[in-house]
Amino acid sequence: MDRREFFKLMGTTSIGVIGLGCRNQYQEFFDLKEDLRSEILISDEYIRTICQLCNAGCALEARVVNGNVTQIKGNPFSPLNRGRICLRGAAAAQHLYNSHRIKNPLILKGKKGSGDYQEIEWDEALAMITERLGQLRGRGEPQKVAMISGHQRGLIDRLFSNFFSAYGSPNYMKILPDAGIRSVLKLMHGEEGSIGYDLENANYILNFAVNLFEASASPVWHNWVYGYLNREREGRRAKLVYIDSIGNITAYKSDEWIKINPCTTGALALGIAHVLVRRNLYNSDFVRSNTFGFEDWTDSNGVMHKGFKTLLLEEYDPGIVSKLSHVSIRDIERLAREFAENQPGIAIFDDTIAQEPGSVYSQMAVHTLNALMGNINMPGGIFMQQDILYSEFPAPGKDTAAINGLAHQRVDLAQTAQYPLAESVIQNLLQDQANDAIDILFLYNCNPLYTLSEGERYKDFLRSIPFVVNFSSFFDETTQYSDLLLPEPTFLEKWQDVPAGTQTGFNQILGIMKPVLPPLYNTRPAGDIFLSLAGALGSPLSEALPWDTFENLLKDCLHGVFDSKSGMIFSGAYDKSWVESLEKSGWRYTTYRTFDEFWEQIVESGGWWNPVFPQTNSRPLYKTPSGKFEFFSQTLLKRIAETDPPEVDSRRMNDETFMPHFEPPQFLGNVSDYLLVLFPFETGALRNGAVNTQPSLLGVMNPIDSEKWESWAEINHSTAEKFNFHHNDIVRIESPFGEFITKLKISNRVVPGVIGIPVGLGHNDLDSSGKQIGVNPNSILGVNVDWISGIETKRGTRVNVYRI
Amino acid sequence: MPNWGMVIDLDKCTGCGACQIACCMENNIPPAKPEEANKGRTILWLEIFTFKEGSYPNQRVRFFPRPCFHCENPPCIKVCPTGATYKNEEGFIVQIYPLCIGCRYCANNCPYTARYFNWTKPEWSEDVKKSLNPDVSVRPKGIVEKCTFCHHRYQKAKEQAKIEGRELQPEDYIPACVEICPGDAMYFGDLDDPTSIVSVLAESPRAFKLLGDLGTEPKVIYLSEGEWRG
Repeated sequence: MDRREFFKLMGTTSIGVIGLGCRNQYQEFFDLKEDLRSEILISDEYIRTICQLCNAGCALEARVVNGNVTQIKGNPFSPLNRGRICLRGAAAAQHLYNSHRIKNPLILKGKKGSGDYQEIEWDEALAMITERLGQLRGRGEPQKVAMISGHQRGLIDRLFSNFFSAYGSPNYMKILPDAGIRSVLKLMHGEEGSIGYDLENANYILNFAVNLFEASASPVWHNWVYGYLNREREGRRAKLVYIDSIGNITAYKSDEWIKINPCTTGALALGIAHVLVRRNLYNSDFVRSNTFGFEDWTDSNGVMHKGFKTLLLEEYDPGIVSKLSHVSIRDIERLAREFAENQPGIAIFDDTIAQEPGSVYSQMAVHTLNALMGNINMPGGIFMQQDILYSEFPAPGKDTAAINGLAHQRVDLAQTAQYPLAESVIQNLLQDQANDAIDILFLYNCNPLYTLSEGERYKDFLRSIPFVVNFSSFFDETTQYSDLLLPEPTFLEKWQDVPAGTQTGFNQILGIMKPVLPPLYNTRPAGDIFLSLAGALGSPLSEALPWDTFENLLKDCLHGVFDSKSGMIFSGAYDKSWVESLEKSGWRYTTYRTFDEFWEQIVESGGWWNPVFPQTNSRPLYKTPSGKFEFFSQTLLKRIAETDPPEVDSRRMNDETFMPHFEPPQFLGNVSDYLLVLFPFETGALRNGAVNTQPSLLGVMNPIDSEKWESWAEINHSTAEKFNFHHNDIVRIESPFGEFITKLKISNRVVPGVIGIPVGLGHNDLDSSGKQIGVNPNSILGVNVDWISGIETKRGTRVNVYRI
Repeated sequence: MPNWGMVIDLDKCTGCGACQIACCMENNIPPAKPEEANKGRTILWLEIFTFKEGSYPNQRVRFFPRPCFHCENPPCIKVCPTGATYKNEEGFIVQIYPLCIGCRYCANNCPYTARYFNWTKPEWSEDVKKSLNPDVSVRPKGIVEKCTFCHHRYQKAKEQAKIEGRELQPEDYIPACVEICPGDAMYFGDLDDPTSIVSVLAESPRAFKLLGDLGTEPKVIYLSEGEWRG
């Protein structure tokens, strides 16, 4: 569109306004309009990038008018979101233009927490970090450098990880949104990775607390699947059964919502498994040839071990499970029968149930339902997604300093005898061993003071560290306790790769994030900074990371994807018939010959995808010691033996330790003093609430709740009657770890015995009237960590409610 | 001339809220401040209503996205004392903001509560102002506003078709809410074209018009299975 057309257009939309000339009365109107109309149209274009407001990685198109982002919509070429996005993505411009952005590098002048910052030049800031890093390494203490990263996939993760191993520190820690799933896959499939759910082809979906439509790994795709399964698919509809103690829009839109006693999901799954086995409804061929540990077995030392079948039949009779879960025997029998009769069926889970005490064992219990029905790597079942085939980084040449540094124990005790499998256990940083163990701490894309239990305690932890460097786009709770704030561009201003589509029916999707406008402020991406630090520190770091910018690193590493000669660039609006024709042609649709063409196209179109399902590949499906799906995890057994055998005894291990089982939940706060179990829950608008940057979302929150700009606590009618509470009572909620005041809501959304509080509010920043908006349920949770995955069991704290 | 209409499939809608926010962003609707929101003064041209039925443990919740219905026979325009709102020749119910005196008769007369009064001056932070949509004017305090079916997009599409020297195709014009809907639950098109998707769906046995017996003849048609009929 040229200038003339634009004016013509503006003219047509506003002609009434000008023609009538009510200038005095509408002065305000013209003032507002002035901002929009005074500029001459120089450019108006759509630029493709990837959303990073959650980890789904939906592909976007940003409309950029005269250098301003004025609209965000979906990229129609992406198979994941097909031109659609969620409410958060739609309001992404508010994230970009947020007034809490950090605009310049800042250095702390006063005490931590004082907020007394001073601007500093980038060169000075980087020189400061380089000097400290050089000194530590020179002193032979590289292990004293640590990092907590909230981003977990793709090249930025590899960059950090390569940096730390070349530098010589084992302390690269991550806050993973799917640590539980990764552990389950490690235990039962023998390899870590992400999981795919082929919901499109399933006839029956047993959904163990995955809030598909609001807070799942890929809500846009899950929303689409709902419509597809309900209305579009030829043949039959699928049945959706939601299982949880707290409702959300997913529960209400499912065909059935099974309300269970809090924190007994694992028991219910095992009860269903019991019925499948006892009534011989399971896929015995699959179980016989592809699984290990189902029948009783004898190990190489001649020791007899209990099989999963025996465990199920002995301990998880529906009668027993019904007492635990408060789901009737008839329902347990019925769910098992329906699940078996409507194959392919799928039992899905995410890390929500890992937040219950019992954690990874509950997830394993749910996953056994897929194994019993043989729905692994089958259409309509669950499958392991393949990692993106990037080119390898140069192997870090390790010198003595690095070797010695890496030999140290992890400061968070991950991978040690206590947490043999966990990738990271951030909560252990609050323990004594962390004191003096860290000299420099990098924080990237995370806000532990807000998102972790007993966040307040991290203040002391951060105070105890001499130098905290925080790469953050926004001021938040954690930046308050950091020494150096290095402003990170938002996802609309930087280059990055985004492996997308976990928990969807796609195998590999790679989104390419690129700047849609020059950085608004004096920001630099952490990737670039680490590359320049590596350059400045010299060998061996400069050899391990031989790039000058992240963009070049990305371009180089995509050679691996190009060379794999698989998949295709996002092209043509996603359409079922197009996919079917591709299926016939062997999923190969090449639009490029050289790498340069490939790069140009992938950047322009926004990404690449490879839909080939793993079952058509020749690679081994399970990397467990037995080469099969393991009901009895030999991976865990092996790992424990590797770390420290005495610890084995302290955990009083028996065969059950290695198999999915149910342990009565151990809550923090005893039952006689604290009557209700606190369930923090995510809403579609705020998700985990690490940053709250989009005011439009606070004004909407979610359609079930009329509350806006405030928190509330929700209890069941029967709980309210029992304790004589009324709707809208103002209450004090107290746990052994803290308390706050909020509004009480009485609803049908939670089961008796549970109190639900949304996360995302209660940040330290205040509204215009100086009032804190809402409360943060994480602040009154106790720290309770699962020993396998390192996940915080956020559904494990009891609270009491007092009317005030 | 096409008779633009919308179909919303409630069996596919999950109530995720994307349409609401897409609408706010497209049409420069400022976020209601906490004190205004608590008075029920949030402006949402497209609002998702929630109906809760039954009691624990057998409760059902239904979600109901409601834009302006652009009725064939709109009750709102009949009470406007200044002629600020009327049905234009293309069938849209439009509002000339400078003619509106803020009497709110129209808002009271709309059976679907689709019209909203601006109780406060619209406000954004200086930075967020940069993200306002240049195609849509901002409304001042004291007037009534409502969903326009993203009429500015229609204008733009017509202009574009003209520049390219061709007829406007139905797919050239789509409101922001329909464009974003993650569940593919919303459809938009020409109700007079019997082959259009909206016409086909409007003939479905699941189709119904909200408060159809009022005779307003809304151009937004809902689809829902079972007993439930507005």
